[in-house]
Amino acid sequence: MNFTDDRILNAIAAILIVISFSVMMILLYGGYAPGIESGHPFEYLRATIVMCTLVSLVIPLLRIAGLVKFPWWFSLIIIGNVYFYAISLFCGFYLDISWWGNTAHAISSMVVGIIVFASLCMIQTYSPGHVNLGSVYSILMLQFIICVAFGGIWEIMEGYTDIIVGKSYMVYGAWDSILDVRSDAAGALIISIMGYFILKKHSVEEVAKSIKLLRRIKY
Amino acid sequence: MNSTIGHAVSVIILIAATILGLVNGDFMIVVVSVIPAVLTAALSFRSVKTPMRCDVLLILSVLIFISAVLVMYPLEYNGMSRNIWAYMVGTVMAVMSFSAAAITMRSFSIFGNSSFNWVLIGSFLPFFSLGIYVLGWASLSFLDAADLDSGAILQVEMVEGMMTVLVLSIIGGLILSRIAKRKHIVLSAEYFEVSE
Repeated sequence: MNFTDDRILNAIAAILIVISFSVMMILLYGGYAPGIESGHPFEYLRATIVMCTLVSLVIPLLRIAGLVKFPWWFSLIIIGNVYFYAISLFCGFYLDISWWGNTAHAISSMVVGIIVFASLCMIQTYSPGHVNLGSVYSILMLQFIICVAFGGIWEIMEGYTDIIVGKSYMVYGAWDSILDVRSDAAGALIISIMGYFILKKHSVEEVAKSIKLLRRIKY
Repeated sequence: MNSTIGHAVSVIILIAATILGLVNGDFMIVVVSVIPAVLTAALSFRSVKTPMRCDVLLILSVLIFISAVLVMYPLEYNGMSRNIWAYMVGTVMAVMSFSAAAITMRSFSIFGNSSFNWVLIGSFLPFFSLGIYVLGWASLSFLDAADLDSGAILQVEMVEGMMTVLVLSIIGGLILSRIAKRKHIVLSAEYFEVSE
């Protein structure tokens, strides 16, 4: 597939993202969002849909701008995760199904773990010679701890959102947050284990080179 | 680090943390203390000769932690504001987790034969510090839920503690990376001489 075809595909993906989230917004305004009945405030769902639209558009727009080309599976799991979060909130699964929140956190942590893993492989491959992340185990340990830290950053974001707006939109107590970070750690661990098996079959360079930095930001 | 000093420091950390944990009925102290204790022991088992200032920094941070907990716990139980308590815990934890992060990176540079330049030191340390701190909270999830629901730990303590750790470790990481850049330090096995 050449560059122009790829750009067209990403443009189509961007349009589909905007349309699908617009449908969700129309359903929300029309009173057809089950999440409202479950207890999520209207303005919270509206803000979530807007944010998820913007986040989902990042990867296609980067490609259209000619900055980064990710493997299709990489783009799919990232955008899929954003949809997973938005649809779960829209349908009220986080409040209606007891295990949903923890599972969602573990899945999101796995997605972050994949991104961190790929980034570390790229740092290792493209850094100057005197910079070395070390053995496979060092890379996996780095991936685990950085991924867990991102779970913490998410909790900070949730907590401060509630502190700033003065309402309890995103946080349901200390126990909920602690279970969230435990799920994050579990997700990070799963990706570390998967990363171990990937690096047994492929080299760090092979993983890094499956992600192509385009000319504008490559050095 | 000399192995005798390393083992002694590890044992002191664990004994002090266990006593403090038992006296205050707070398992978190033990959980957090295990990390630097294990790392210190791991480093000393390999008989790694670290520069004296690293050992001094490690021992100082442990002493700061223990003395801070000794001062802070009685303050909390005397009706201190939970918000101030959260920031204080966050600050001490930032010192501890920052120190643990630095030690972890040191151990990486030896065990993994890795070498970090000033850019990676500055960018990885905040993640390390926060990651270790978050793991401490995650380990709390294995304790009795009823204690948490009864308000033993407040949401604000988690969030503001994490924020304090993140902000302080970013500042610490920036300072450390500036020092590393100016002095052309690369954290590597060559910098920390391995005796065997």
